[in-house]
Amino acid sequence: MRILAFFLSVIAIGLALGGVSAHLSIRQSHGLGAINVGPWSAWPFVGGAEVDPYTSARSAADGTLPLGAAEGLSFEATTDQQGNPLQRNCRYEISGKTPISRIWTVTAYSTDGKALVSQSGALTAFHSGNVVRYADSSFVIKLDDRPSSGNWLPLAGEGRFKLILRLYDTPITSNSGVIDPVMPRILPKGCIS
Amino acid sequence: MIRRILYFCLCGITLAGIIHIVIILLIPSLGKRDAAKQIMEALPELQFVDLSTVDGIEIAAADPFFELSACRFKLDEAGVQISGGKLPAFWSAAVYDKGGKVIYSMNDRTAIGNELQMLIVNPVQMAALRQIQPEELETSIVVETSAPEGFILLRAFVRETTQAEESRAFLSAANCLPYSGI
Repeated sequence: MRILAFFLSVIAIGLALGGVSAHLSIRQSHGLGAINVGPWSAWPFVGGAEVDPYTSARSAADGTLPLGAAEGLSFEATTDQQGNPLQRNCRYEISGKTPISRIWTVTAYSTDGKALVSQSGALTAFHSGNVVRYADSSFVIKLDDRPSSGNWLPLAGEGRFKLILRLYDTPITSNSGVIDPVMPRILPKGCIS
Repeated sequence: MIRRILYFCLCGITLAGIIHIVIILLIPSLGKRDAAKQIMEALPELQFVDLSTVDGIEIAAADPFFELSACRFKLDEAGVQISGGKLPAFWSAAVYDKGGKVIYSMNDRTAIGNELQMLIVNPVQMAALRQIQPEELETSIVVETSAPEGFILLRAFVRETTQAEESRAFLSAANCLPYSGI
């Protein structure tokens, strides 16, 4: 009887620890194989032939198709600059510059990977060709429930969301390696209670 | 007593490690959301298909500014010749194996003359190509892979919704044919 209890509790602990650690290692945005710039994480080797099992499990579980190195690199953010999860009932400002690329796009998605659509049916996304910039080529995108001038990305609803910034045809995926790219900051601007 | 607890912990942690590794390795083959698997199952062979028109394919976190088209291929009988026109906007192409790993990728600037011209061959077909030296070798990008099957995914940028038609025309004009030169 004691032996049986011993076995059962070992199996229970093994299942729980093994399952939780596997889940965390592929779900956490700052997971294995990632490069991190502030809240942004990218997996530059997800498209390679020598991809590690964690990265490959991650993209299979996500249902995404990775970009090849010659196509571009995508950065994902699930938190703001201070490390708090991105919430749809809060306001944010994405400000700064992106690394060099031919075009880039930034899109808000629900946590399961569907592009967010505002109540008016507008897409919650921008690309490098339709974003309004300052003279030094930096930009500010406001994520807000209220209409706002400039680059406004309407947020609605509740729950967490994530931002994906994709750089297409960017030299940072080339052989020189990914060296501390400068990414825009995601600044929290308060929440609607 | 302490030895017993240590023994218990050791057993638990070892089992946890094994389960961790098994889960990580099994996810790609068991996952239902795996986009590469959906493409391999739902697409006909050697034909570019607009992915937004196919039931059962849902690529998570797809870029809304891009139109996607894919062609599934097998290399056991012949190589695959991909050809297409030009598009003023950015486009890119990636060859994936059936598990969704990228074998080769390119964009319109790395393409020869900004045109989509690609030959996908296995090592045996590559050896034959080198002997024959067909003229396609000069105008196409040759991708050699030992993966027996996979798919090529074309992405075309849509700057404004008014240009969607142009991007879609570029995608639907792309051909995916068995290569008859060898």
